Amino acid sequence: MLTSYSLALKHLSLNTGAGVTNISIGSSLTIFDMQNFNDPMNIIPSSELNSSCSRYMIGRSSAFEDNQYITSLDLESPYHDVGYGKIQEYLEDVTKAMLLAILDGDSKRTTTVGIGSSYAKRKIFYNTLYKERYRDKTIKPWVNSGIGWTATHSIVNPVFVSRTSNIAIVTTSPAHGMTTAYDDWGIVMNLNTGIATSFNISTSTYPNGVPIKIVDANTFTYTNVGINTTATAVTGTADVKVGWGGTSINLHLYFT
Amino acid sequence: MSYNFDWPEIPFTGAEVTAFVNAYKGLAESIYENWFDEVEYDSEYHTSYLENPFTNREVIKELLTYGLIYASFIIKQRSGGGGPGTNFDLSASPYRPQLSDAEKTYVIGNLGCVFTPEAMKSAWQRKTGGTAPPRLSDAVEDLLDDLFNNGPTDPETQPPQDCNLTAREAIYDGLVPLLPFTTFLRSKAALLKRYLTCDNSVFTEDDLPAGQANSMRDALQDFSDHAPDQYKTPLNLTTEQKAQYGAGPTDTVWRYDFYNPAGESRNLRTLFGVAVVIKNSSGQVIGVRDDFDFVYGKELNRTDGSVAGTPYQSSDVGNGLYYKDHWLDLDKQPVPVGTPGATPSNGPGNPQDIRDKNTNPIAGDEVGRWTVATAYENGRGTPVPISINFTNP
Repeated sequence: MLTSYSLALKHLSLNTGAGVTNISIGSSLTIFDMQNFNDPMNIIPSSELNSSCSRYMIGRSSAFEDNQYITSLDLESPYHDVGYGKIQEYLEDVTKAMLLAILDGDSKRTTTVGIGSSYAKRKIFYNTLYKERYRDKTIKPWVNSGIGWTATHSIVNPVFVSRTSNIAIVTTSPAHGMTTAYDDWGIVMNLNTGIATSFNISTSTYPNGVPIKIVDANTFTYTNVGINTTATAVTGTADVKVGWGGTSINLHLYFT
Repeated sequence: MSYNFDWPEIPFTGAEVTAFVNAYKGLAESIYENWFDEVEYDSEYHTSYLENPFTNREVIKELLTYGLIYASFIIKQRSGGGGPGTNFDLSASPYRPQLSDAEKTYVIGNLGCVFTPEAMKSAWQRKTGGTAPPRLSDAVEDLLDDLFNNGPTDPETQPPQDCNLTAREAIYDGLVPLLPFTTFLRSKAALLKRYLTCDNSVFTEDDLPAGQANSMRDALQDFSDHAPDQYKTPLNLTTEQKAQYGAGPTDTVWRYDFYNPAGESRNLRTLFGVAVVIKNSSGQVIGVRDDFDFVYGKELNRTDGSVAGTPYQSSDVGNGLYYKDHWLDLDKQPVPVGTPGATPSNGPGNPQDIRDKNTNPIAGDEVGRWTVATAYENGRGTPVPISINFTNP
């Protein structure tokens, strides 16, 4: 296996960004950092390539008379090197598929192994990794009618929004009801008019919303690229979603 | 049975983690064990349904192996138990790119989506506002050299094929009206002519020689009614998937394998080999779909999710299995590497050997094979989608 692939699969890619806390205890250093899937809300396999990349890869695979972009992780296929970052995305895809296949219910916030045959679980595993057009929408995890992965947890009412440095701040009334006991909340904004619509989230791009950070009982934030905007009264709703995570997904690192 | 999974040690503890890890290992091993039955050869879970790179059993095995720690870590966190996470050796973290994001964006954006050194240099020059003659940095020159020494190409820049029939092929074409009417050889000749003349438009019932649609339908119906079930596999498709084949919601779609005496006796073997057959709710054959391509010529490997009998993208045309690494089945026919029950061959075949060992320029239906193999040697051949609908009496 290519060295970069091996390292990518064996080690988490740390992103020591916002939220990292360093605590010195004697001669050791402990870091509590947020560590979750690269895409913490969705289950769509990340392997689909954009058109430019797909064109390039198809060209390469055609040149090498191979109908698969990746046939092996071995050194013998160096021209299929897609980089360690992509390999880690593949790893996340398979990990999510296994969690969905094994865990009970919708696989969110639970540690309970679900009942059911190995055959049924394998069907869920395959179904998670299928191309969109081949997915069985009658079984997990793509079940329609609002009971699948993208099911809405609750609906809240934003009354004010603002944006500073591409961070949207949303105030709701009444309180949004999301507890800080969980770190897997997401949101799909559906605001109605004017500049407020620039805060909306496209469900075609983010079918299970975008992750949010809870500030207090009436306020949450999320990343939203746009011009700085002062607090503006808005009408509309926001669908609360639940993604990957749990009661506490903080990764502990120790240096001693 | 572990199926040689090299499971990593799990540095987390707790009842939930233990139960999950056991379930994970069991499921992973069952996926690996049942892969050939359920994914590669079962119509319900066909490999092409999966995103790349999840079509490869060994790649899946690696990802399943390394995914265990990540998944069990999430279970550990969800369980809310106390204690540390784990110690990670940061010294072996993945390599980082040598370029910053801004640098990568700059380089890639200026190279353009082109695939020749000249075009890429031209794009670079234009986008960076340079003047002729372009003076590229050594780093960019090296990058271009590296790219092209590794051979990526744009299929659309391949030189055009010679799409004219050779003198011998033209003679054969002139003899087509003399071929027996009942054996579908005229239909096969019409398809072969398209294959040789780069005509990859969909071959429909309107393109069949006069009167052959009914006899073809009857032959397919006879096969459907009387051939052993082992050669007829129902495809479990959704309504949407059926529609891709042009089948209605109440129609059934089947995969028929004509490589057997039943197919041979009905003259379907050499025309279709394996094809998709559509039947109405009464069991009448109403259509057939196939791609006319060859293991000893050019083969079509659809990568865009399209189905047999529909238009395809030219970049999906590749060399036949004989010319790639392959194994041989019990009948010494080429099959994909790793096929159960097959044995490895001696690597990709030499085109001339393949032609000489498998074809005959003057004998029976091997004339067609000889023509295809010879055309391959000259870089010719374009698979033809077949989509034939029948009007039942």
